[in-house]
Amino acid sequence: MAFRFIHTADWQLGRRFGRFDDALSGQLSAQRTEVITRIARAAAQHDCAHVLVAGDVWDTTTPSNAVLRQPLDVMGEHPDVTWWLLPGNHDADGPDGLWDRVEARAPDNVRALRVAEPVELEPGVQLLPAPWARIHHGEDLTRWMESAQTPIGAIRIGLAHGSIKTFGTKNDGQASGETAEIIPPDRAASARLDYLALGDWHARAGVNARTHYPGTPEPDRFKTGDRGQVLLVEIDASGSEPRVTDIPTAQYRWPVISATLRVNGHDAGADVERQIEGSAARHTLAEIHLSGETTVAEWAAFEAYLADLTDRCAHVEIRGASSVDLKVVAEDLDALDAQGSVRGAAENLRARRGDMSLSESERQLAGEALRLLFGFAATAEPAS
Amino acid sequence: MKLDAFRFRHVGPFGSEGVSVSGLRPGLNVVSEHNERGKSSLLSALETVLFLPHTSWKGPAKQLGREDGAPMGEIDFTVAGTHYRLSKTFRTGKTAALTNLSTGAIVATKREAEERVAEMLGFEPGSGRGPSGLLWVRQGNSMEAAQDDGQVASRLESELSTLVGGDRARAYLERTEAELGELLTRTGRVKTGGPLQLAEDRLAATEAQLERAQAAADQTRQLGLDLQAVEARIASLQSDTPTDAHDAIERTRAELSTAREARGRLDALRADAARRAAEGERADDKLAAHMAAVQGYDQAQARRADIDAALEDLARTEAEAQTRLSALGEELSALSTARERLERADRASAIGERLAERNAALQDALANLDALQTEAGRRADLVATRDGLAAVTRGDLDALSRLEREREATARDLAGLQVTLILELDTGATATLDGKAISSGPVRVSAASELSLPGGRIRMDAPEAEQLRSTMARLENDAAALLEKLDIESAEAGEAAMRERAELDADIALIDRQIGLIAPDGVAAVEDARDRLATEVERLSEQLNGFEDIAADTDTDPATLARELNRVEGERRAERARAEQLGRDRVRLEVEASNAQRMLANAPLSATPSEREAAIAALSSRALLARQQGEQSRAALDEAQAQAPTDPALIEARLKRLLDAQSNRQDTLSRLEIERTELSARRRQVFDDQDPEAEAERLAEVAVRLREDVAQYRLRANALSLLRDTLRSSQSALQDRYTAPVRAELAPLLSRVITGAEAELSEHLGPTGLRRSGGDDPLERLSGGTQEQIAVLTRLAFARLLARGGQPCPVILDDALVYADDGRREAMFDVLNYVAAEGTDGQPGLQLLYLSCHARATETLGGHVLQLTPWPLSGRE
Repeated sequence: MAFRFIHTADWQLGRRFGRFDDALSGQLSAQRTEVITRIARAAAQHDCAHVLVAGDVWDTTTPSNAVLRQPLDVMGEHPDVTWWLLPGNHDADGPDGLWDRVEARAPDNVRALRVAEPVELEPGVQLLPAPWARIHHGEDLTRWMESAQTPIGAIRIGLAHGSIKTFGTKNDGQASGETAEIIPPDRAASARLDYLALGDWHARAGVNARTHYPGTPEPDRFKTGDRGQVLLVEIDASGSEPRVTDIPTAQYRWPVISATLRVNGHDAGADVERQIEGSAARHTLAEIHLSGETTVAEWAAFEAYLADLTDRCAHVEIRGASSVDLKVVAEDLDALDAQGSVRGAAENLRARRGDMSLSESERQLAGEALRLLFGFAATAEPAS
Repeated sequence: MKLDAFRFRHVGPFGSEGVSVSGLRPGLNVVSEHNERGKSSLLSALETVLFLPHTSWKGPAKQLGREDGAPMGEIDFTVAGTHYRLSKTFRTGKTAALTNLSTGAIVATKREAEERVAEMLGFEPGSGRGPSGLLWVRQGNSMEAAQDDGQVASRLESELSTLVGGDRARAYLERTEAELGELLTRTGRVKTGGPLQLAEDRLAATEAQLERAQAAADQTRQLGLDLQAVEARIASLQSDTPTDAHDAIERTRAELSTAREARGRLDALRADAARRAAEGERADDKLAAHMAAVQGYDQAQARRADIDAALEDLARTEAEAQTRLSALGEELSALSTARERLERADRASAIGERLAERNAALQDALANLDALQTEAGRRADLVATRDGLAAVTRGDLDALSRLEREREATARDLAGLQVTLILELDTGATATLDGKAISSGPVRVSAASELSLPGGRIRMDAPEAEQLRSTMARLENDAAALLEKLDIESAEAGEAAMRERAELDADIALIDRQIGLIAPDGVAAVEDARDRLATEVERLSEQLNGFEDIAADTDTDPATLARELNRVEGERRAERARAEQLGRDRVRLEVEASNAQRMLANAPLSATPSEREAAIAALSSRALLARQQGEQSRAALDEAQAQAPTDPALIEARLKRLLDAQSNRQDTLSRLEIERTELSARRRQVFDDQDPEAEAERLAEVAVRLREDVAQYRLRANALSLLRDTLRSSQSALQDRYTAPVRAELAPLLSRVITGAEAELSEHLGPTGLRRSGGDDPLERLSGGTQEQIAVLTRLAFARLLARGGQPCPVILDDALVYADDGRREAMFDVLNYVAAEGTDGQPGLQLLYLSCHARATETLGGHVLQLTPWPLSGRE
């Protein structure tokens, strides 16, 4: 029978969300604990007795007693699962004594992996952890795995936290270490690991067949990439390739949406809406990046759509509105004012917006002023 | 439009007879009437009939109302060559009709008629006023009426095909400014209480909180580091095996014990060596002392013999000295006696000389006293003589002389009382006057005269004579009384007495001076001197009596005697000094003798040579033995010291160090345990509260959001500012285009009145100021007259523009130049005539109606003068 376990990481318990209002911030914080229950359910559902958390269990090394204790209690509420917790860069086993506190309060089914030495998960299954003892340790903590001795025939599972050297792009995920700290992508092979369970990147990533980042089980920021899942890992025997399955766990989605507006009846709102779909809007925090061009009338309609979307979603952030080119046609000007000076002002602003001799910010400012003017016109009382 | 005539009834001062103005021509028409003629009412009526709906009667029209009938009026005008008449009756009448005068047809009635007229004249029907700003320039308020009401503007707009934003543009600008005003002040600063400021304040507060939270996080982190360091130190201290320290201490203690024993032995050897050395020294000392004592005994004996011999010599010498002293004493006594005698002789001689001198002085004093007594006797005689004389003074004599002179004068006055008698004596007859015979002829007689005639006497008498006689008697009495008082018989006797007294006084003074010479200090002083000298003479005489025995001993030379005396005294002093020295020598020798005796008394018994030898041998033997024993002890000590035993102090120091280290380690451990407890407690307290690091992260995100808010508000403020500026700029540019034609039309007119001036116009075409070469003047800074002239000229410019556009409009001026001075008024009159005339360039002339109550002021206006006439009732009325 294959050895099955849940691979997760980057719970970042205690993380707070100051950019949102207190209510939403509280809900998001609470979900970081609630997701443990969903993970436990997934483990139970897939008959997993072990959940391996690859670092950054807590967001800081100094969580309050409540933030420390409550997740431990949640884990204790699922005694069929053994929770293996690895100190990461956010919750390093350093002078703050976090892991002393954890061990002092942890229920029996929670194990803190504070020493880099093999631990037997089950007979024939050896876990090789690479705990962080300080934030900047300046070395590859997985190096020891190469020389780690385990019983012959045992499944060797590495558990580590950090970035893979050649993986991803600079701006993707959470690059946490200096060059010396970067984990070699072939560590699984060099250390004869059947599986290397990594943490640190909040987006899901598979480095190779034996090396994976599960991403955070509950998203916490507007970033691209899959987030909000744990990995079900099945290893039939030492040396066999593991089977890795994504299991969604997130309550909230944080989609980053690109909406390109176009003239001639294109419904940008529908584009956005399609990207919102898949989760309850009230559990969606959307960051919408606008670009393109639009007419005065279409912009008014799109603004109305965005207003509605904002009401429906947990949170909506609009980026780049001022960069959207407002196409002003003669009809717009006529609608604005059939008489002279207002039209002249609108044309002046439109000319400034298109004047490439001006700076980008100046052009955007002109566009914003133009948008304001049409906004006034749209909401003004009919001229008498 | 051109006005042709107008008529009114039951309005203002015009009752049922009505008023009519007709014959208006193109160009300048003038109505010049005094005030009571109702000129202003005429204009109000004209305005009312033109613009007020016939169904209305409100506003200024109400002041026109009368009780004698419904207000009514007719206005004849021409539009596009057609003559019309607008007839209206208000209040109870309420009719309106527009008649084509050319055809006599009623074009429209009531509201339709008014609408047709409004359409032809270009104003809003029912608005109550037409392009009144253009039509009317009222007396004294021309500026108020000069604002265009939009009629001209709209016509110009349509002509120029330009668009101003109008109300919407204003609305957009106002809204922009209003929304901008929420964010910024007029000067561009962030508005207090506005959303931008609130966002900035929130950001600042959050950043401050963030700073504090970061500090708290740092403190917590430091707490962890401190705790870690403390625990590491504790672990390090605890890792040192305490048994090592304990063993080291025990070893050191054993070493110390050994070292202390060695030190004890050494100390005993050292003490023994010292004791032996001391014993040797004492034995040597005893031997030496014995030797010295024997030697001292021998010396004392020899010295005692010497002293005794010296004392004997000394006794002899002292006796000799005493003998010399006695001789010298006798010699000195004799010399002293001689010297005393000499001194007594000198004393007696001095007293004798003094006595002789005092005695001579006494004799002088006695002689002076005799002289004084003589002079005193003389003086007493002279005084007695003087005092026997009458005491007459010069004043007394003068008084007597004055009385005599008065008496003589009185007598002369009495004798002067004379008359001349013509005496005619009979022959033979005699007569006497005052006893003297007189003969015939004139006789001078006085008042006191008595003329004896035969047979009787004639005694003269006169009252003045009596008075004079009385005066004379008084004077004589006074003189007699004074003589009696002075005890003299006559003035001459008084004079003699006075002179004699003076001489006696001179003599007395002479004697006084003599007495003063003899006794300058008075007779008493001379007498005192005499007594004092007598006493002294007596005393000196007595003294001299005591020296009678030495009177003859004058052979000894005092100088020789003094020298001898000094010599003897010197020798005696030297002898005495020698005697004293001999005494001291004797005392010294006696002390030495006593010492020698005492030494001999204390000398050891072994004074005999054999005893001496035996004693010396015994003492020498003991000393030798002691030295040998000392050397043995010293050798033992040196041997022990050569083994160099460890100083116990050194081992004690090491033991102390080890014990201190052990104690310090224990103290440090205790302190670190306390510190760990405190740090742990503090950190536990932190964990009971909020996670400072998480709070800092949260606040950092809040700060990001607030910065975005601020940036959004800033962007909006900047966009609103740009929109505002753009709207203003656009409106201003269009306004310039819009007002340009009016300015162009106004410019030549204005320059005729105010040379080189150019008017500034508002968007409503009203003048806002004047630009001259000297600078810009806002309207309110200009004089009332200038403001009025600009307003009238602007109106004329409007009218010319309209006329040029085919919509001529009359301009009615109601004493509109009341503030103009003569020069300006003349210039304005020129302009009025200029615009009234058709221009060479095809510019149509304006129809002007100039009403004035200043006949003289309009004498030079020119134009066509109109008269007010009654408005006859027609049959229809």
